[in-house]
Amino acid sequence: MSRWSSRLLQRAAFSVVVLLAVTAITFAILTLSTNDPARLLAGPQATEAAVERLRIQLGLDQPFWAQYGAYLGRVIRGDFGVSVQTGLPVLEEIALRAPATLELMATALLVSALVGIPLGVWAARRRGEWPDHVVRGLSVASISMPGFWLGMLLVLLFYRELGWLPANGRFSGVEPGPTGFLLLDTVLAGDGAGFMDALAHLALPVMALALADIGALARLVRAQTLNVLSTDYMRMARASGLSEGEAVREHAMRNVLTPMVPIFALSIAQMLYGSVVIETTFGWPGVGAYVVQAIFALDFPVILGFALIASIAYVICNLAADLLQAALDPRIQDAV
Amino acid sequence: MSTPLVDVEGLCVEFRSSRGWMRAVDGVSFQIGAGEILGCVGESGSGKSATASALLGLLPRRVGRIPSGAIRFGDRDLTQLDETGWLGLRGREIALVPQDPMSALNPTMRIARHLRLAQRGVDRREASARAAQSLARMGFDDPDAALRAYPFQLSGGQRQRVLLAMALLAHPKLLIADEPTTALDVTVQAEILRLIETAAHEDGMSVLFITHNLGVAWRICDRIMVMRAGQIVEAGSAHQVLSAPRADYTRALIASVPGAVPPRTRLVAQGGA
Amino acid sequence: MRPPPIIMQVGGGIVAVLALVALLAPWIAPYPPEAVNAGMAFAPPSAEHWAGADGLGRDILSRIIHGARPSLLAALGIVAIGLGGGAILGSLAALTGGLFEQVIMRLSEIAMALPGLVIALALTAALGPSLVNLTLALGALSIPFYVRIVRGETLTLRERGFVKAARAMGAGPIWIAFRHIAPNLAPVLAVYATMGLSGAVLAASALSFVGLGAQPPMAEWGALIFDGSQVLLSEWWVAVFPGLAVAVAALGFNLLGDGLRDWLDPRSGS
Repeated sequence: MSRWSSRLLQRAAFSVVVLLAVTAITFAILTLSTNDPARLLAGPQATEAAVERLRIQLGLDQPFWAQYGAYLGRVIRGDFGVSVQTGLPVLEEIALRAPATLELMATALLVSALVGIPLGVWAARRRGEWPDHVVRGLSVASISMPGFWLGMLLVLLFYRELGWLPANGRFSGVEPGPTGFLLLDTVLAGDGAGFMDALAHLALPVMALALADIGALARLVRAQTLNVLSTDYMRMARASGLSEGEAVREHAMRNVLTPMVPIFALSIAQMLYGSVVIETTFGWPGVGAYVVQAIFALDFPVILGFALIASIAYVICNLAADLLQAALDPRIQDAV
Repeated sequence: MSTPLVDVEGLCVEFRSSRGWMRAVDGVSFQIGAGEILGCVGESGSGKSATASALLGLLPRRVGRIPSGAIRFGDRDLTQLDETGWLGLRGREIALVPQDPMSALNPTMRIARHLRLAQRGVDRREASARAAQSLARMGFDDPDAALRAYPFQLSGGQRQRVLLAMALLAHPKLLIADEPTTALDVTVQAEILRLIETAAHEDGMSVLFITHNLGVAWRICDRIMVMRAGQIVEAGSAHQVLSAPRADYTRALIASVPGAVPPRTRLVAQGGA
Repeated sequence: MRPPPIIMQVGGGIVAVLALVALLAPWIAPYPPEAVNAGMAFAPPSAEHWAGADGLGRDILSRIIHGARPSLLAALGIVAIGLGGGAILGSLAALTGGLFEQVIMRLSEIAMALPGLVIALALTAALGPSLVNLTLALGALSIPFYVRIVRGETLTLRERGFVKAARAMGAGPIWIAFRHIAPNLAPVLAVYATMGLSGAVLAASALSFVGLGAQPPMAEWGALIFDGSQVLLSEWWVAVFPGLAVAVAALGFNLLGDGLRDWLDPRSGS
């Protein structure tokens, strides 16, 4: 078996273990929560007998391991329970709002990469000069900024004062469908004005979400670029007649970016949690804002369903990042 | 000697440290004739690598500088050259063989691409033909297999031969060999030395051969200069410097390496010079 | 020793001022934080109320000054739990080795592969939203991060001459941990802890902002920002000034940590 496929297997096995841990944690939280799920589900008006019937129906009288097994079985079948607020299946509720969140996060990640990577490379190439100091200052400032508060400042400036950009929701009219990804839907429908409208709605939340990530990314890219710039192969590239720009483009970029791939997976987790507060700030109809509502309503199936799905998504991202990194580094692949 | 290819006069190199500018090379003067192999011998910190960097225009920006001195190369003074001027020179007229072949090749890039990037402005097919040719000249039995390989798939000696092929692609007038055999086994060392020597004699290429190994210098160099603390303490023909050293420091260097200077044997018969 | 870098002095200054503000809150705040004054409801910033007043006419500056206490205490608590747990487990793992180390490291590897803040969110919701529970959840979830650092550093230190010498002279693992490892571990951990405080201030205020931390009427920064977010477009000062406090605190810890790292290890940084 090649090193490549054994690595794949090893990582996949690890991911399964992590996913089991996730279900164990969410189940433990569910059990641990002081609120009686049967009582919550039945509602405050239900009689004690009705609650007891529901408890047996839910399997809450069973021993711990049996309950966990049953829970795992439900999760695998995609049954995350029903929302206490709406009575609808949690998975459906989350799937309904996922495109809004995914579109926001994907755009923010793209912006963060497009801004953060060049800034980091620039700072490294001009190490110790003014661009380096400016980038370092900007990244410390952006890392220190609470994203949701920055979002408010952006609203005050671009919406309240200048009136350039919308500060609430993600579309001016009725969302067109069918995918729920508005940039995609408007392009499919050939609706240029709608596309610009969706983009305008994205602008402020994306800025708020991307900013902290830009600072962190620029800092990491700077450090990695400095490592690469001082390698012998960069010196050899210069000595063999490449200009500094060519040497960086041809030799350095790949070696700077490959170790960044797992960092992107970390960024996704950071944004996932960032989206919870940012969506609330901008009235963005996504999963994050929905979870905040659920928190205020103590809607546990929704909160735990979100934690579970977010964790699964994160584990998959990590696995993908790991494999992508291996694919980009010839030393990890099998010998030719 | 007729007009030398390289004429270095009073070269000083300084590096910035926390205590201000520190002098690494302090008023060094030497010449390298066409087709000549000049050895530059010294311990680490003697200024030999800084001299090499100055001749390649690769002193680190802002941290290294040449406060005074001249490096005449043909009719140009290299100390006055801007980056554009260097780009026409590096890899074309002045080339480098680096010290550590294990780290001087980009780990994520195939050999073919290394050799292609070293030939800017050359037509693609022409470039790959020349790359294969150059590898064959460096003793690769199967150049195409080597071209397809990643650096980690080659041995240290093979990598150094790839780097030498890269350096010689454009038939440079001057090769800076910066301790090219230090990281290699003795048998591989001999092979690399032979290749450098052959190239020098066949192409009439001059070589500045930097080493701390007196045995290696003895074997390959026509003339030798001994550096210490940024200055040249002794210079002369290889035979003269190593068999009848005048400077105490040279004597100490020789004494510190038992058997460093074997009976002079050349791997390739030397013509002219 | 070299003088501390400027960013460390600036960061240290900010942190010192914040600490003083938190300690002396009742004496330096111009008004009691809960003093309702209907006549001053939503008063904009003025000479009387530098940062304006909220919907109940409470002085925002006073609430921010008092808010430094719960906000900074929560951050300290989070880092103390994470660092304390991490130091104990990490150094024990490194010094005992064997099965114990395997188990600890596997568990932290698994924990690091989880989106910690999302789990913290669920955990806090389950424990019942409060600043204490929030602190416990965020602290517990940061333990694996510190375990890895402490174990790595301890393993490096263990191979150093003076530790080997102590072991050769028959010193036990606990003696070695306290006498030889801990003092050398401290500077590294100080850097991580300072940076950790910045992240903790931000995380705690964010989770308080969504209602999982401090409950009204407590004047905690994240909760103050939430109050203000409801009236952002009409009375901007209610949200903006508490957020500024969070940003300044995070900045202070970041600068201090950054500078501390440069100071202790001249090779790193710029």
